[in-house]
Amino acid sequence: MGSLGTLTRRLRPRLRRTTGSGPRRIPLVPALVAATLLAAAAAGAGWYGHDRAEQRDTAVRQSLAAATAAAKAIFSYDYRTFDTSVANGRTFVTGKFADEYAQTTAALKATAATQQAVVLAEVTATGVVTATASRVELLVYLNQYRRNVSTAGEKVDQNRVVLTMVPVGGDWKVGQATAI
Amino acid sequence: MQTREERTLKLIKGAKPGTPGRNVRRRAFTRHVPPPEEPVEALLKKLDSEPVDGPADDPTASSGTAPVTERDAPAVPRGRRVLIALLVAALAAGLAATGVFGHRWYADRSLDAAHQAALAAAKQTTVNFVSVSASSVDRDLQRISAGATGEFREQFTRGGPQVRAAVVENKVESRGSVLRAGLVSGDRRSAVVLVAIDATVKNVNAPDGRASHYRIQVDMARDGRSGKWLVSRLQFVG
Repeated sequence: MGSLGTLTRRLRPRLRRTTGSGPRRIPLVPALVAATLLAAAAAGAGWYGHDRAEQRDTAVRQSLAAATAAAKAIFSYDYRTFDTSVANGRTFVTGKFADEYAQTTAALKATAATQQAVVLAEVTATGVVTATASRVELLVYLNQYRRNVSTAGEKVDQNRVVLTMVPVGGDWKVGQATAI
Repeated sequence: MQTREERTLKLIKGAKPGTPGRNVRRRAFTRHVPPPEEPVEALLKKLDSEPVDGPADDPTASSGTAPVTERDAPAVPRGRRVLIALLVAALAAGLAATGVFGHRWYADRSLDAAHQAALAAAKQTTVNFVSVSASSVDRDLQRISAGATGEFREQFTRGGPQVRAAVVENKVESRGSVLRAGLVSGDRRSAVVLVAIDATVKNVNAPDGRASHYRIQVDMARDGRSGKWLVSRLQFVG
């Protein structure tokens, strides 16, 4: 406070000179108020922009962390433990896609049993297509290792899947999954 | 300071009527100086009645700092001084915060711009890579080479003649389109990008064309001189 007092005292003579030399003078207090408000607005804008970027980074980090396990769970199944696989998969999905997932797996169950199908999904790479704080779209390279009665040995499907991740409570879940 | 004031006062005391107003101006009480049309006698009388800054009659009394505070006090009221001090403090804090947050925001934005530029370049060079036709083979290969650097450029330059021969011999006509591209990681100078591409490939064995689905991963590097993002490594992900 002492140094500020000195500062104002130092500012004074200069302002007085302005008084003497020109008929008009910029009023000190309103000018200071305006400058302070401007600085505060600029700082606020910077803070807001940075905060948004940080929220987006967090969204990306969390959705990436959730996506691998989710993709594995959703795209894997075993005819011997089909219901367990589906119940596990259901914990990773949300919204309309949850219904879609339930319908698809219900339709698949009979075929999986007759084919004695075992599908194991593995994620080989994941990239961020677009990201906001509340929605992250991921491009996932997903291999499905398939075994069934009609195929000798193991067949590998090299899929490209777009996962749309959305936050539900504190978790990020799959709101949409599309093979492209 | 004290001595100067003493001298000033003595000069005023010794002044005769009609003495130029120079001494008056040297007084600290600028604010109280009456307009020049006021008679000098009245002015001097007024000045004498006013409180004296320095101890003119007693040079030994009080230190030099006292008159300064006394002089400042009536010039700016205490409340106003506090207000100004607070405003200056607020302004300084506001400017400091603007600097800090502005810089962070700028860093975020330039990183985001780098990511977007890397993604765009990755899409373009990979689609170029799967779009090669016998009729325009030299131009197509040159276009790929222009977007390449490092290891990828070396490989491509080495394998170029073979690729060219195979394309011409098999009458290859390939055209690709990007389905989706995603950023794996990246900073302001390098990035890893996935590009999902579909292409229709026609050749002597498949004159009607065959659909190919590619899963490509590229390492991108920003060229220091041109600022362009170039592919330094290209691989098909198994």
